[in-house]
Amino acid sequence: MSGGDVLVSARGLEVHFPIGGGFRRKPAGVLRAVDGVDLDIVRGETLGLVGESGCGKSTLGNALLRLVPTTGGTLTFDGTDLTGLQGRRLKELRRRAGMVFQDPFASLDPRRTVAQTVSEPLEVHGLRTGRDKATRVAELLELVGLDPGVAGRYPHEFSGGQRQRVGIARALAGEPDFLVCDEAIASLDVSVQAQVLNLLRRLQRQLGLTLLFISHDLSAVRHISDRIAVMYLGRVVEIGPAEAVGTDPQMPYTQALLSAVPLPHPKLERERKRIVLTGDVPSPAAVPSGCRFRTRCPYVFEPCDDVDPALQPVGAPGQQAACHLHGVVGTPATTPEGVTATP
Amino acid sequence: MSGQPVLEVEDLRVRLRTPRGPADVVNGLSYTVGAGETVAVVGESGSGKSVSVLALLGLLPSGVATVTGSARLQGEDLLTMRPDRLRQVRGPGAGMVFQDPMTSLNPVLTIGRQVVEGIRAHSDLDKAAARRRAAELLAEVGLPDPEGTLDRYPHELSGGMRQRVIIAIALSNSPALLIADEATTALDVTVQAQIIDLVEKLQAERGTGVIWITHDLGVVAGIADRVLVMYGGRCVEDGTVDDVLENPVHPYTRGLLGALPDLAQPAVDGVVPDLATVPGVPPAPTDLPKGCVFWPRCPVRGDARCETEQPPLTVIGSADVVLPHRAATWCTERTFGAESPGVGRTFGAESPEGGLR
Ligand SMILES: Nc1ncnc2c1ncn2[C@@H]1O[C@H](COP(=O)(O)OP(=O)(O)OP(=O)(O)O)[C@@H](O)[C@H]1O
Ligand SMILES: Nc1ncnc2c1ncn2[C@@H]1O[C@H](COP(=O)(O)OP(=O)(O)OP(=O)(O)O)[C@@H](O)[C@H]1O
Ligand code: SF4
Ligand SMILES: [Mg+2]
Ligand SMILES: [Mg+2]
Repeated sequence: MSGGDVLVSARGLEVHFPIGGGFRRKPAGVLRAVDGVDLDIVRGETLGLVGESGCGKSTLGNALLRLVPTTGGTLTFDGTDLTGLQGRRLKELRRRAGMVFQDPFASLDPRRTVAQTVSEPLEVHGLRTGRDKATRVAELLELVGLDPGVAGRYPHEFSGGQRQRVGIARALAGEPDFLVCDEAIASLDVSVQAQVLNLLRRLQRQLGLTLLFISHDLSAVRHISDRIAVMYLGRVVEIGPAEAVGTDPQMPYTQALLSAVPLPHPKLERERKRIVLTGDVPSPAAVPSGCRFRTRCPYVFEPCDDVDPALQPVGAPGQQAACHLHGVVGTPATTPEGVTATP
Repeated sequence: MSGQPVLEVEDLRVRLRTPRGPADVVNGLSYTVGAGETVAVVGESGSGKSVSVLALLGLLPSGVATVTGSARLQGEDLLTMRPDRLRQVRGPGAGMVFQDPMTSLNPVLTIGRQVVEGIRAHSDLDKAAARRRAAELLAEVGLPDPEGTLDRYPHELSGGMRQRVIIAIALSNSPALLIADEATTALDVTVQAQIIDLVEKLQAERGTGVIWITHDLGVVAGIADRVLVMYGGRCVEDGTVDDVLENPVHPYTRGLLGALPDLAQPAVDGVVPDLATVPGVPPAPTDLPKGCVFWPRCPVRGDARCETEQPPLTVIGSADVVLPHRAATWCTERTFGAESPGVGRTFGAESPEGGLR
């Protein structure tokens, strides 16, 4: 993306897991969970991240926060190289970049009060002590729309939406610049989802936060995001303004994905035409040569077998897609070393 | 939907012992699931959806839960069944996909062990045949490299991959009744559509009755024959999917539908407006309000009885249909303005985040 000031930047980012090894055996291969992601997240934006289950969204989110080790590529946060970051500087990253987890029920410690949960990052980072700490906790609770009077209560006394707010308050405690929300609304009913989405949007405007919003709910993603990135088998295959990607997708996988969004109106839903993907679902342990979507793509043609398409500008300003239908660009595929293809 | 229903639930009540006193989590739920029929259950978080189905299968902690009423699965009452018979019934009788895939898979056993065990518990396939069947099932739920996946451990799979393993186990015995509790929430929409196709195929082939609990009203619109809306442990509205989603009557249902982000939502001056929400918080099951369970949050409260008398489920419109549309509210459509159905404009965005009072 041109223009904006880039906060998080990944180039050729890779997270490969050894597989098939097990106890005292040599790994039989590698699983390419994240496999060459180029991504810039602009300061103050909300970037939605969508894609097939198992395509690497959570792994990418974790990698950007240095919660899983990367095996290749570069990663910078506010201009600082994150690969190899250690000690005090890693701790500082932990303060500036946080995570809101999927499950508000599992991610809070049932034996700790709301105040203890929310103030934990303040202690870890030595930010506030004594009376100041209590004041800051009250401030944070107010910020997420909770009555500061609830500070002494335990998680089981709250509803799902309220617990998710406690999780957000904790994530905000260290005054982060960047938050990854991984399926943060998935376990909530729609009216509570709406509360949390409104809250995230308000906080973002108020605090200038940068958000990576990972979700399977494409209507929610379109509602909250400035831009949307679509992943397929470890790669970003399309990215652009939310409006453009949501209404005029340029990559065949994105088109199939959007066509499968169920509509909450029985009559419209019965008439909806879904693009049904057939063909083999590839495994990230045996990534196809050429375009990684070619085993299921309805438009597959000659160059797709051996030329790996690169992201290129196409469609609306700022929109990019990796597909040869928009002109063949990319590198001829080479067999990645260490990969044993499964039949 | 002819012949004997697969499941008939009558006046199901669940009371749980909690440190804050007894909690009335399910309060008189009655419904039937016909052969091949799909009943969708929607409603507020904490309204008793999961507890009500766990109660059917005897899966609530026994010292804590008191379950009354009756629930006949193909004629046999599940609630009075001996535990060994209940264990036989789970699987081929009633398969369940639990809401939390992390806790329903054993972290120290491979996926293969767990799927094969599920198959062998209710069939006489030998190990090798069961393993072949397991790989087939994983392929049917769309997992790549099914053979390889059998040898992996739960933590090596993504959330949605684990969820599909649970679905494969539940489908492995072609159950007469399938209970899916948020079974596809961790899946992307293309995989979700594939799972729904698979369940519909099973319904067509085997007449499987399905209870589908979900927050996703788009999924409901696509799969449900009938919808049941729960609030505060009660059914507050039910009817055909068209009746409930296109012409909701209960103020809670209207609020719920109004909170949906609309894919076609227009931006006003370049800003997407806030979503409508249902202000306030749900009632604590230890302290349910007198009168209508929804009244403390209800923007209508159009009747003197709202705060004092519990409204019964009454038929709205014609009673002379197979599935009448019913709602438990004192305020039927007369009370509402003529605003478009399904869009809960009665709930403004004034208190958009409904904080804790
Ligand atoms: N610790 C691990 N060891 C081995 N493989 C892993 C590990 N964690 C994830 N994977 C694999 O990496 C791939 C990507 O997983 P990831 O959890 O990032 O997917 P996702 O896009 O978040 O999917 P979902 O939408 O289902 O949450 C999957 O194939 C998964 O099996
Ligand atoms: N083991 C338990 N002990 C005490 N209370 C419980 C227990 N299990 C559930 N509850 C309470 O019972 C009520 C109903 O919970 P249930 O899980 O059925 O809600 P739900 O409708 O499935 O919600 P969600 O949509 O969030 O899954 C809640 O108030 C919950 O806190
Ligand atoms: S490059 Fe070829 S296979 Fe890949 S998405 Fe485009 S047309 Fe389909
Ligand atoms: Mg994930
Ligand atoms: Mg539940």
